[in-house]
Amino acid sequence: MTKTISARQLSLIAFISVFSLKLTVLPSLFYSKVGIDAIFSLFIIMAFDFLELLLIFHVLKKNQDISFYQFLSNKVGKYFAKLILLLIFIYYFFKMLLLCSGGYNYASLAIFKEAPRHLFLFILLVSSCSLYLFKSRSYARTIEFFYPIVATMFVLFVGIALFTAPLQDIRPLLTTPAQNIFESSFMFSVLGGNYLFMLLFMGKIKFGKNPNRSVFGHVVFAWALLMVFYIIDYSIFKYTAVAHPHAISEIIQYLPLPSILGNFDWIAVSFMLVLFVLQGGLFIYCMCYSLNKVFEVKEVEKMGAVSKVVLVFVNLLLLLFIYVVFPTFSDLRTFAFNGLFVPILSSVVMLVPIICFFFELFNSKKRTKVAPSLKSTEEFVEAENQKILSLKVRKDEETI
Amino acid sequence: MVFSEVEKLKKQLNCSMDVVVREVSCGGREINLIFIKSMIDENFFISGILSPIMDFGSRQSKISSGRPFTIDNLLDEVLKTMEVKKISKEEAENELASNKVLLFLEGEDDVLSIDIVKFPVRLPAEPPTSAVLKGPREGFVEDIKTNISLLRRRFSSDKLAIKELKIGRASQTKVAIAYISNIADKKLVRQVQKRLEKIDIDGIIDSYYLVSFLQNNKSSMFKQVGSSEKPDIVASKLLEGRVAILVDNTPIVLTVPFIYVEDLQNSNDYYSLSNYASYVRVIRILGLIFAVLVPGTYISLRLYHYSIVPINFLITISNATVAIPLTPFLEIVFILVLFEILYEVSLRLPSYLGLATSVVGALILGDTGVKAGLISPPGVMIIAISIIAVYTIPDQVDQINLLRAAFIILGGALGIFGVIAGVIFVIAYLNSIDNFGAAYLAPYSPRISQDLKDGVVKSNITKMKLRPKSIHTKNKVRLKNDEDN
Repeated sequence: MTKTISARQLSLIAFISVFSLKLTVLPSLFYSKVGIDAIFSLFIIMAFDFLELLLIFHVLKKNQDISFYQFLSNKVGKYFAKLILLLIFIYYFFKMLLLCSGGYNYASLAIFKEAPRHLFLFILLVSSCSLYLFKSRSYARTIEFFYPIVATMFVLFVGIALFTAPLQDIRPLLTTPAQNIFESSFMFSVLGGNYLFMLLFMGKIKFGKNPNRSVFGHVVFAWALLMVFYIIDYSIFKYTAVAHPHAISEIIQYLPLPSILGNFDWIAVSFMLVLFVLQGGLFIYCMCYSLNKVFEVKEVEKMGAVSKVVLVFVNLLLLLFIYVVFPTFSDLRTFAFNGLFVPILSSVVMLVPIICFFFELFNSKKRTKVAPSLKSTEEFVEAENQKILSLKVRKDEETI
Repeated sequence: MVFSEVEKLKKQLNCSMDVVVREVSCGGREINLIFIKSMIDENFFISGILSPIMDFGSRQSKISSGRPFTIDNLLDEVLKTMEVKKISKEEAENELASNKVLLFLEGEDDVLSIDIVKFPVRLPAEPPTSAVLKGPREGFVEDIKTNISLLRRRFSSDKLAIKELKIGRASQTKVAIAYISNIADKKLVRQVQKRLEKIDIDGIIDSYYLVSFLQNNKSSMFKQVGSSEKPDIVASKLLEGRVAILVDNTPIVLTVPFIYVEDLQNSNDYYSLSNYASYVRVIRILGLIFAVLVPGTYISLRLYHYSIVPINFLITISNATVAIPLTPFLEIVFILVLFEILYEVSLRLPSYLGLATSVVGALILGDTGVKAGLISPPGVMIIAISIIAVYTIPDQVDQINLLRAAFIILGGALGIFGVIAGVIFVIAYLNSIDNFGAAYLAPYSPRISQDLKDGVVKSNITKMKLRPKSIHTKNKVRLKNDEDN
C-alpha cells in the first residue's frame, strides 16, 4: 500500500508550520526594525507565502504521481535538481538552527530555569528525528492528532488576551518608509516560506474532494490568528515591544487572571513545546529528504542505510553549528537577521516554487500540443512504461 | 480378547491410566471399545452404546441366520441416532486423541468413531472484567462449542461464517475464525487465516498465544488485537466487519483489526443513553490522561517548573513537602513501587487475607508513611489518582502502567518538555502501526468524520447509518430506511 497523506493532513502541517518562532522572538525583532509597522512587514511575508502556496498547490495537483526530485530532474536535469535540493537543505538547516537556539532561548526563560542547553537539544532532536523515522504518513497523522489541541489552546489564548488584556491604540501606523518595511520583510524572510515543504511531499499527497478549501481554509485561519496575536502584542507593549522577546509568555503575564489559574503560562508553554517538536520533525524531514536526493543511491538495499547516515550527519552538523559556530542565540540572530547570507539564500529558495510553476505552465502547454500526436501504439506503450517506471521509483522512495 | 491394533493404540497413548479398553462379546463376535475415560460421558457410554450393543448381540444370537453382522449393521441399526463415523484404522489414533470412543469389530478393516465427549464445562456467566448494569450478562466459557453457540444465537441468518483450524503439534487446539460473510472483507479473512495456518507451535494454551502471531509489530507494548469475554461485544464487532478468533479452552475471544478507540468503548455505552455514554467516555479519556501523565507532570513541575503552578497550589504543595527527605522523583517512585508490590500481593493472596492487605497497605504504610514524614500527602494523592484512574479503561491496564513508569522517568529526567515530547513520540508511534489496514488512532488521526459518531462522543444508533469506515468492509450500510423507524 502506498503511504500517502491526505490534503487535509497537508493543510494541517501548513497550519502548524506558520507558528513557533513567530510567536516568540519575531515580534520584538520586527519591532526593532520598523516599529509598529512590523504588522505590514508580516503582512508582506504572508502575502508572499499565499502566492507561493497558490503556485505550489498548482504544481502539486498537476504532478500527483512523481516525487519532487523526479519533477526537477525532468525539468532541469539531475545536477540542477540536486543543486536546488542542496539549497533547500541549507535553507531548512538554518530554519532548524533558529528553532533549536530560539526554542531553547524561549524554553530557558519560560520553563527550563536551571536546565542546560544540551537537555533541551537532546529532547528536541530525538523527538524530531523519531517523527522523521516514523515516516511521512505517521507524521501527518500525528499533526492531525495534535491540531485540535494546539488550535484550541491558541484560540483560547488569543480569546483570553483579547478580552482581558489592557489593550492600547496602536496608531499611528505607516510612520516608517515603505522601503524599510520591505527591507525588514526581506531580512526576516527565513521565517517565511512556510509552505515550501509541500513540494517535498510531492507524489505522496492524495487529493480528495475539494482540497483547496481545506488547505486555504487552514492557512487563512493560521495567519488570522497570527495577525491578531501581533496586534495584541503591540497593543499591550506598544513601544516596549522590542524588549519582550518571548511575546507569547510575556503577554500572559500581563493578563489580570484569577489567582486560581496562576499566570496561565502553562497554556503557552504546552502548545509552544508541541509546536517546537512538530516543526522540528518537519524541518528534519525536509533536510533529510533533500540530502537523501543529493546523495541518491540506486540500490534499494542501500537506501535505508544512506537515509540513516544522512540523519546522523544532519544532527551532528546541527550540533556543530549550535555549539561551535553560533554558541549563543544572539550570535545566530545577528548572522541570520542582520547579515545578508541567510536572507539571500531564503529569497533564492523562495523562487523555487515560482520556477516550478512556470515549468509546469510551459509543460502543460507543451502537453496539450503533444497529446494529439500520441496516437500510435508504440508511443502509447512508451508513455505507459514511463508511468510505471515513475511509480516504481516512487515506491522505492517510500521504502526509505 | 484385546485386538492387536487396540493394544497398539493403547501403547501409542503411552498406556495412560485413563485409556480404557472394553471387550464385548456380541452375537458370537468380539468387539473392542477403546476410549479415554476422563473425556467421555460414562453414563451415556453404558446406556447409549454398551447396552444397545449387547441387546443387538442377544437379538443376533436368537436370529442365528448364519450370516455374521457387519460394522455397517452396527452403524445403521444400533448407533444410528448418535454422532458416529466410519474411519480407517490409520485414522484411529487421531480420533482417539480427539476423545472419541473407537469401536473395533473382529475381522473388520474399518473402525467406528463415536463422539460422546464430555468434560467439565463452566456455565456461561457474567465475566468479572466486563460487568454491566444493563444488557446481557452471559460470557464466553472455556468450551469452543458453547462459545460458537453463544455467537450463533445472535445471528439466526446464514450470514455467520465459521472456519475451523487446528493449531499446535501437541495440543491440536481447535481455533475458529468467525465473521459475517456479507460484511467482512474477504482479504481480511484470508489474511487472518493465512497467519493462523502458518503457526507451527507445539501448543496453544490460551488465545493470548495467538496475539503475537496476529500483530505486525511483535515487540510492541501496545495491543493490536482486540479481546472480549462477552458474546454481545464480539457480535457487535462482527457486525462492524471485524473477524473474531475463538480458541478452545479459553473464554477470551480475539478480534481484528483493533483500533485504540475500542478500549474506550464499553458495552454499557450501547445499553444506555447516548448522551450519558458520551459523558462517560470523556471521563474515561480523563482517566487515561490522569493515569499516564499526572505523576510524570507532577514530578516535572516540582523539580523544574514550579513557577507554572498557580500560587495557591504551590503554597499548599510546598507546605506539605517541605520536610520530606526524598526528592520528588524518588518519593513518587517509592510510593508507586510500594503500591505495585501491594497490588501483586493482593492478586495472589487468598481473598480472606485481602482485607488484611488493604489495612496494611492503606493504613499502616500510607498513613504512617505520611505521619513519619517519609512521603507527602500530595505524593500519595497523585499516585492514588493515577492508580485508580487506570481502571477506567481496564483493557489497557498493562500499557497504562508501563507508560506511567516511562513518563515518571521522562518527567524526572527531562521536565515538562520531556513529558510533552514523550506524548508526541507515543502518538507518532501509534500512528505508525499498520493493523490489518486500519489506522490505530482512527477516527482521530486520520480523522474520519463518519466514525466520530462512535468515538469519544457517541451518537444515537439511528445516526450511525454506516459501518465504521476505518475498517474495510464489503457492505457499508448498517441502517436502511431510517425514515420508517
